Order: sequence, then C-alpha cells, then structure tokens
Amino acid sequence: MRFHSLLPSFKPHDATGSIASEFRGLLRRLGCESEIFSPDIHPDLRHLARPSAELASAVAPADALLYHHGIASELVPLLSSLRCRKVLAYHNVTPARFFAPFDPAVARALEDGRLQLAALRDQVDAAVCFSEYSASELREAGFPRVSVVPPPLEPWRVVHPGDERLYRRLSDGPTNLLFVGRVAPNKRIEDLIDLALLLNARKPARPVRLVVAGPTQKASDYFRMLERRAAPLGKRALFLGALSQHELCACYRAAHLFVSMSEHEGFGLPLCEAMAAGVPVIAFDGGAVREALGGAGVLFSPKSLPHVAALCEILLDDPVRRRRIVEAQKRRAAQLGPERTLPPFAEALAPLLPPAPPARRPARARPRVAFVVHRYGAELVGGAERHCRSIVQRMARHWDVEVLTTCAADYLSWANALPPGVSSDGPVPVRRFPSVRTREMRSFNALSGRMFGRAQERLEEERWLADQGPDCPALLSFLAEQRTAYDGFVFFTYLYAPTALGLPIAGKRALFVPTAHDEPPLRFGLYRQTFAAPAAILFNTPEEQALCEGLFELPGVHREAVGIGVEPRPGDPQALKAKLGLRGDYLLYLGRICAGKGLRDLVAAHALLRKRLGAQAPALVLAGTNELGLTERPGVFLPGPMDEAQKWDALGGAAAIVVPSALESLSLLALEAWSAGKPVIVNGESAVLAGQCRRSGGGLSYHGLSDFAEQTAKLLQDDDLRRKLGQAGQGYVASHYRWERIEERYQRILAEQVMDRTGGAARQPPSRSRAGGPGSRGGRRGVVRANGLHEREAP
Amino acid sequence: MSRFELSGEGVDEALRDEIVQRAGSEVAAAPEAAPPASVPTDLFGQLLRSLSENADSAQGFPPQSHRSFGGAVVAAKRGFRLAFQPFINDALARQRAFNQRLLDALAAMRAEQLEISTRLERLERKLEAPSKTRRSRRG
Repeated sequence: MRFHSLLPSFKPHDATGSIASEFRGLLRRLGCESEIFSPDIHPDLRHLARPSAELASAVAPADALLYHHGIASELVPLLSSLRCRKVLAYHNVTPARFFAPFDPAVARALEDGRLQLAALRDQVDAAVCFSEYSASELREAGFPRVSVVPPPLEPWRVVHPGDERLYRRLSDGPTNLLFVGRVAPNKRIEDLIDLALLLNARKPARPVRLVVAGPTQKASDYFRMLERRAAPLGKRALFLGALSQHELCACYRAAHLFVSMSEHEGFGLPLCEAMAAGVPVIAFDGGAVREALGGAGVLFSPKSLPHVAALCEILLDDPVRRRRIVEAQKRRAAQLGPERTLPPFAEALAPLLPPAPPARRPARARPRVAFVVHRYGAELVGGAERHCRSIVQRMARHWDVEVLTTCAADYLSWANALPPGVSSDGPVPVRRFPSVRTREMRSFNALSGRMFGRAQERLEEERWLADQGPDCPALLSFLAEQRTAYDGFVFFTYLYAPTALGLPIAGKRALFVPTAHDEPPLRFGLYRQTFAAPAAILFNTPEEQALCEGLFELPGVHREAVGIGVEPRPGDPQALKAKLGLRGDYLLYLGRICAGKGLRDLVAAHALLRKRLGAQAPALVLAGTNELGLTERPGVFLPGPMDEAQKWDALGGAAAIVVPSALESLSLLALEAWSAGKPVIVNGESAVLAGQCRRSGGGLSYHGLSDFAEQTAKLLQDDDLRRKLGQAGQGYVASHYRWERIEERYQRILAEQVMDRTGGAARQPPSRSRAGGPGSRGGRRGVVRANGLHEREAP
Repeated sequence: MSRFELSGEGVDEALRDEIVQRAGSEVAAAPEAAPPASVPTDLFGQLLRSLSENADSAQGFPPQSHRSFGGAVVAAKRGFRLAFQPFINDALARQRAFNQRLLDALAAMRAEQLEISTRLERLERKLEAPSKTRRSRRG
C-alpha cells in the first residue's frame, strides 16, 4: 500500500521536514510505498519530495496519508478533498497569545491553525503526537486514536567539533549561556537576557555572555524589544541568527550551560541536542519540555531569576555535579532516534498498515534470495559490481537467486542504458528498474566538496544521497511491497542509494556487503541506519570490519570478515608481451583507470623508477577503462580493458602486480595475482592492502613515490624474493579464498542470521558449518520481524 | 509565596539547600499561568468570526520584513500602500463584495443549521420521553 506524507513546506534546517523524512523511511520499513508531498519545496530538496499538486493522482481510497500540522496551512482544503485514510502528525500550534502583542499576522495564522485543527477532527482516522502535552490537547478535542510517538530525532548529529572559527570566537573568555531556537515570543528570550544581566551583576569577575542561535526576524517588534533590553549587556549578548549544522556544533562545543526559559515547546530538539553534546541543561517547565528532558537535565518552576541564577552558578562551579548531570543527559539523548520511534509508530498506525508477514512460512527446498546492487552485468567494470556478480553466480548453485538492480551501465551518470524489466544472466533472473534522473558530476563533486568533513543535518545528507544516486524509486517500492516474497536479501556497497535506502526496508532479512573504505561519506550520519539495519554484515577484510565497528554502533548485527573466492586459470605468460612488443619485465595494474585509484601517482612513481634503473626498468602496463584520459608514454602501455582469458595471460607474464589505490575494502587484483603466484606491490597508505600483504606475506607495501621506486627495484633485482612472495601469496589464497569456503560462509550466515529469525525456507546448513568464522561478532538469536520489530517466537 | 521546584536526575537535597542558601527559600508568587491553548469546539462560529475579520481584502496585513535592514523595507511598503490605496480599493472592490456575500450566505447556512439542530434536539427529547414513561410504568 501507499502511505504518503503531506506537509506545508519542505526546507532544510526545519524540524518538520526532518521528521517527515524520517517517517518516510519508517513507513518504507513497515512495508509501505512512501513519498513526501508539499506545495513549498526548497530547490535543494526538489529530488526528495513531490509537489502537492500531484498528490490527488497518487493516492487511492485504500491508501493512507500522514498530514503534518503545525500552523495555519493552505493544505487543509486539499486534505479534505482527498479520498483516502488520513493520519494527523501534530507538531503542536503555539498559542497565539505569545505573538499577539508583537506580530498580529503570526498570531492570526496560529489562531487559524487551531481552527483548522478542529476542522481536521472528523477527517482523520488517527493522530500521532510527539508528547503527552500535545496528545492531551487532541484527546480533549475529541480526536480518535491519539498516540504519543517519540520524535525520530537525531540529537547525536551535534556531537562534532564544528566550525573552528566560530568556536574560537566563542572561546575568548566569557562564560557562554547558550540558547538554540527561533527568536520568537514564546521562547521568552527576554527572560534569558534578564538572567544574563543578573549573573553579571552578581559576579562581575566572571563575565557571562548570552548566546542565542536561531532564526531571527531582525525587523520584528519582538527583536527590537530584545535589543533594547539587552543593550546593557553590550557584546555579552550575541544573536547569531540561523546557523548551519556545522556552526551549531561549534556553539554547543563552546557552551558552558544551555538555558531555556521557553513557555511553549511541542517537543524541543535543541534541548536534546544540548544533552547529546554534553552541555548541562537548565530549563523552565513549559509545554513539552519536561517530556523532552525525560528526567535528565534540571527542570525548574516557577521562573524566579535569583534562584535560576543561583542554580547556574552552582552548575558552573561544581564539576562533580556538572558531570553527574551531563552523564544522565547523555543517557537520555541516547534514548532518542528513529529506531526508538519505530515500534510505537508502528503500533499507532497498525490498523492502517498492511498485515505483518506470517512468522513462519512454508518451507522451501532452496532459499529465495535477492541480490541488490547499483549496477549489474557481465560487461561492467567495477570492483563491487564484479564482486557481487561473482557471488551471485556461485550462490545460484545453492539458492534461488535473483538480482534487483538499475538500468545503468555507467556509474557516473546512471543513464538508463539497459532495458527495464526482467532479463537473465545465465540461470539468474535480473530485474532492472529505471533511475529517474542522471547524475551531473561537476555539481555533485562541488556539493561533496562543500559537505565532506563538516557536520551535516539529515536533510542535507539525504540530498547528497539523492544526487549520488542512482535515484530509483521503483526499486524501493518493489522492495517495500515484495520484501516478504524473498527469504533473504544480499545488499552490495554501502555508498549508493539503493543500498542506503533499500537495506532498512529489508531489515533483518538482509545480509550486507558494504565494501567500505575510509572515505568522508562513510562518516555521514545517514549510514548509521544502513549499517544497523541488516541481520549480518559480511566484510571483505578485518581492516574494513575494524573501521566500520569504530564508526557505527552495531548491536544485534552479526559481523564477519568473509571476502570473495578466487579461482585461478592457466594463462600464457608470453601473450601480452607479444601483443605489446615487450622484451623485458613488466609491472601490471588491472582495473578502472580513474583518479580515485591512485593512477597518476603510479605513473609519476614509475618515471622515478625509470630514472633509477635506466634500461633495466620494467614497463608499466595499465589495463582497464581509461577514465583519466592518460596517454601512452615511454615505458607505459595502455592496452585497454581485458577479458578473463587476457587477464590471466597478463597476470601470468607480469613480474609483479601493482595496487596503487589508497581506498580499498579488498583488493581482488591482489588475490588474483597471488593465485597466479605473483608478488604484489601495494600502496601502504591503505590499511586494507597493507593488512592483506602482512597476513599473506605475499607482497611489499610502499609509502610515497620514491619508496615505490626503491621497493620495486629491490623486488625486481631479487628473483628469490619474488618467488618466495608469490608462493606465500598463493598459499594464503588457497587456504582463505577458495570458493567452497566462501559459499559455505554465505550459506551459514543466511541460515543462522536470517532464516532462524524470520522462519523462511527450510534451513540448509552447509556441509561444514561452524558456529562463527574468525572475527565473527554480534549476532542475536531473538526473533525479529523483517521490519525490525521484535515479536514473539512462533511455536 | 511558593517554593522553587527543581527536578532531574542530578538534582538532590544538597543542590536544593545550596540554592536556598544563595537565593532564599521562597519565591515571589509567579504570575498566573495562562490557560493552555485548546482546540476550538464551536468551529463553525469561530471560522465565521475569523472570516469576517478578514473579509475586507483591500486592507492588507501590517507590513513586515525578515531582513536585517527591515525597518527601511517596512517603511517603503507602508509608503507604497498609502500612495496606492485608492487604486487597491478600486481593484479589490468586487472581491470585497464577493467576500461579503459569501459571509452572508455562510451566516444564513449557520443560522439554518442551528435551527435544524434545535428542532432535532427537541424531537429527540420528545421521542425519548414516552419510552422512559413506559419503562417507569413497567418498573
């Protein structure tokens, strides 16, 4: 079924938009096709939502709509005209009395918002609120089925050093009293100003500065009143206006106390952020503030400034008490997040949702498993794509395998080059879904450059992911609708949208092969949900596993370094030499020739080697699609892409194989080189490559261009060393990367981590199954529904 | 006079005592809190009132600006409006007349609806009365 969301505006830096976006993700996890509709979509977010004008044709009477209400909205007549089931998400309407003395227009809009709320009462089937404070309003007004759902907030996003310049500006001496929120009359900023004046008067030796971060209407009567009131504070009253997430992080980092005098809050995200950031929170007991603090922080009432000032002084002076409060706050902040929202959200919407899949399904002889990957095809070059296809082909011997992928052949543009629908790759059905737009690399790289290394809010990251692509809503809808038709899923590569958005839909039915390496996007908060969602994560190497375990909390997710199988084939060592007219040795690189693989550095390093060895220097053969536009030069050959037979010929004739990339989750090339008995020379900047070399004893790693020349010269001049390294690598691959071993691991992990949980096809333990492989961790034997909700184990 | 109330996981008696020591045990009576906002019950009536407040489309809302130099923007908007008010009145005269008729029609509907409700209520009471009498006779 379809369960869409409708909201008055969809903009960055807006809690309603973030919550709507999180709800969309949760609705997809609950098996619904879900999109966001709004009449006012910010241009940056245009790929994340659809105009509300399209809504009427997008819903049928059996569908449902989640309408977000917070202030007077032009959407209520539209909502009334729609024939579908409706749920109200009530963000609370600020009482108009706060605004009446300052801004009659806003006061009017707020009054109208309440009138509209009354009009909605008889139209909605259920209502969800984020606090008991809001829910009681609706219950009193006679709304049906009112539920309280903790908002799907991510307060941990402010735990980041943030903008260094702003941090330094705020760390120039005075004690910072921080408040974050819109500068609006209900927030009672004037009380904060009075508090700051009092604190400065009580203890002049410790200057206190009031820092207010939030959208400000500088021409409003309210702000003018605040300016007049704050005049005695001079530079100790700082109104920073609307800030980016990165700047906000710096504010929390520089704050000594977070004080709220607000008399009306629908929930209060900044209170939760301050708690997550470790800033002691002192808040007046107004609106839903008590519920937001959840027993942490310090809640006070009534507003007696001398007492609040005394409380501030104590918390500033007493580090032990401060630490105790901060620890309690951090525990409270950890209780918030989409994962905590999902069970009550599902319960609130239960009568409207599709029925849950049966706990046990009829046994099938072979599990039905779908592989989800961003591109798929025999002719495609790409490490993860090749990896996925190899696993698909091998596992098709044990499972009924199907591939769910896009119509893209080019990973840069994602243009729909292959026909949509079902085709086949040998015995394996391949179901292709079209992407709805192509990627424009220049603007995408510019966006990435602006975002990498900075704290981001959820919607900014979602925008980046939509731009990253491939943007394939039909694939996500298919997953939402058909997820119970498969016994298991295997998702490949964390980076792209089908996995990042699709994996949470499949939930505990999924195995995940992230193929992650240490790069800036891996630190985006949105991937937390991706990594926390599956039943098991199959890493390529222990280094990749350590990296991901350091970045993500993965409770209940089985983790294991599995890798890929390699099957050596005999090759003709003279074939490539004959083709290129080479008389001496050559170094070989096989793969995409692109900037991210370190090829420019390799060519420069090879030039150094030529200077060093002169006529004795080996040639450098770079075989693969030349995306960099490199041209041949003395000693450097670019024979283009190679098929399987040519590849093994080339490997067989090489003196050594070079892997120059600093960003790898596993080097398949190194494994193939070793299986052919050849030594490898790898970029030591990659912990994964260095680890592979160390464990196998099959290669040398280099750090920098001159070191490459030195190590390569050493290797080429010592036949015995070359032979020893090649043999060690060959033995390592034979014992760890045989296909039988890899297949056995996939079978075991699916059986133990997915089938036992969801009760899919009859479990088929592999012939030599073990309780857990080396490096296996986590794993929970409880029964969890595919949508992530715990349920009672079926008898 | 009332007490200064504190709550939270890190709050204990020692903290309360220290605050009392620094600021006194009692606080001046807090201003009476405004009643919490509620969802209107007489929806139709309130909507009608709200509509009539906004029926004169020639009268704009007070000009505003969110910009830092908003004062100048607001003054410019006021000046513009003042200068062109006769033309605004003229251009929106028909809209104003339409709004007024619409309000009249809605008010007539409301009156009729109230009358129907009253008659219905009366009828329901009449219907209920004999059955109660019958029950009481049996009892």
